[in-house]
Amino acid sequence: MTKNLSWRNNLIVPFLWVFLLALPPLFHSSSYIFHTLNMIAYFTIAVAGLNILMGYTGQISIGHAVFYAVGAYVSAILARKFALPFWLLIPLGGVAAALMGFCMGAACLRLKEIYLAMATIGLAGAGEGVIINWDTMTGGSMGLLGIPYFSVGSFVLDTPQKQYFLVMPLMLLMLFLARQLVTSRVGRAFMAIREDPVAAACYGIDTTAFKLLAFTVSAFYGGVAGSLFAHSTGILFPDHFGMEVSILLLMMLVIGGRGSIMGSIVGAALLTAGFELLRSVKDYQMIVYGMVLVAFILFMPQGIVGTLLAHRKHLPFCSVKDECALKGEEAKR
Amino acid sequence: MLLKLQGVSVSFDGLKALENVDITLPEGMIKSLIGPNGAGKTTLFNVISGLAKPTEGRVLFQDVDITGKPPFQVSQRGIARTFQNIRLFAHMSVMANVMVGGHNHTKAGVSGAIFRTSGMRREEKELREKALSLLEFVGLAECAAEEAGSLPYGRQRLLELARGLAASPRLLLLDEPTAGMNLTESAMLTRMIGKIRDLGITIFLVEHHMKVVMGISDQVTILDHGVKIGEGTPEEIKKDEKVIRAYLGEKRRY
Repeated sequence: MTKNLSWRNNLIVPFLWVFLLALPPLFHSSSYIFHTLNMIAYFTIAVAGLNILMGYTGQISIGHAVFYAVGAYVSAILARKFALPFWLLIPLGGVAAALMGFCMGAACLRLKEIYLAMATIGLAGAGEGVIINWDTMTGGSMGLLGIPYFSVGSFVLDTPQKQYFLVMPLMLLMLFLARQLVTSRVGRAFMAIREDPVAAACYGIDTTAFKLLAFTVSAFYGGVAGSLFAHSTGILFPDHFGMEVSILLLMMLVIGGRGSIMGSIVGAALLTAGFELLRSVKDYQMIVYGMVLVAFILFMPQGIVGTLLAHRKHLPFCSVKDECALKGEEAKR
Repeated sequence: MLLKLQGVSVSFDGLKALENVDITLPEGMIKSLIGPNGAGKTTLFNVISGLAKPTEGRVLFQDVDITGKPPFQVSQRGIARTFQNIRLFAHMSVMANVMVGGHNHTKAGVSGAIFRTSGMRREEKELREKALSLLEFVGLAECAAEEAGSLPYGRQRLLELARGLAASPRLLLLDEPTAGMNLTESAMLTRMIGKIRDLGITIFLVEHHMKVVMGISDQVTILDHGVKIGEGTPEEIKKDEKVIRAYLGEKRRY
């Protein structure tokens, strides 16, 4: 019976997603709405990556926008120079960021908590500095202009509406992959490191290797998000990747829920939409954001999805939960 | 010999936690390590499992030198342990805790996870079944889906035991497994330890409950101030003057 149920769930969920994603195009045609939806998707991908590193593996990164930047700039520069297709540019942006994530992870390996936080801030600051000062390559603070849009054959994705149909499925794919990863042996190792690195090591988990893996995968996600972003706006400025963006990603993570891949989408959607809604009170935007974050940390430290799941006593390895709860009942009988 | 410690010394900033300790542990035995608080028992376990590096001496496991090897490599050789101050993965399910214990016997990496290869699925299924049978063994099957950190203390110790067994170790180090348990629970645990030995797992035990120690040990080693002061069967130990003075004698004051 459980098997049946989970099988049905596996079918229902994707259909639900497709249905939800098909809704906006039916009701709206404004570029503004689609631009916002696409922004939600980029942030969701980046936050899902940050979630793997922070939410699952417990390694703090406060400069995550730097990976977003690397993906964006590498993809944009490659596209300008070599006119590569999108299905190469997106992974290349991801891989470039992943390489940087690997190096950053290797450099920060022995650091914990506040020291790791400081190191990641430092590296992110350095990244921003490189973007601003290497202006022959990145356009510096004048911005990198004329980045080609993605195109499928001769069909150019030059409006947010068209981009939506590439970005959203890709976001779903990335979320799906993240979920596959965290519900496996690798995900268990990540979580074990978060919970207790000493005990994890005593059970054969090479904490160094798995932390590096988490850094790399996490950065890859940031890079993919960055690449998508670069080719949808067509222009890149260092401002797009500053400290505020890193903080924004962190807020999305905390509000959505650490240790929940689906939380990434909730956090990204709420904050992106909130940002748009608060445009009218621009000067007070950051005050509102700050207060919201403090409120979440105080009253809902596990984030929205984390809190919802806690009420259902739902833990990672949910399929395990179903099975075991059932077997547990059998055992009691 | 399964495990051999040769002249192991550990000092922390000049304070000698262990001094020239020799211990051998043949396969299939239950050996207890006793001694007053601060005698160096946990440090000795940390040396074996790679958490502490000896300043002198060697640790041999199945005749291979494992001195100073990192804990994950020691674990891969077949040594599992529990912790005196319980180190569970508190926010993971009971089931997931035991499954982490089987990390060494599974291989799936990133690609296995993403593509759910048949090998990965088979491995996960086997591990899950094994974990469930271990949870049944320690009597925790009905809380498999609960958060490990939410279990009462005694049950957390049992979960540590199940996690240790999931590693299918050759040698299991139990650091005060009955601490904080009531009499019924510790009697049950004692029987369990006997059963584990019968499965062919060698057990090295740090324990304060004399009833447990004398009841199940094949051999007892006594540490005092980092020095081994005696070794023998439980009967021999009970009669040993030095031991009574250093350990059992002191115990009477409580």
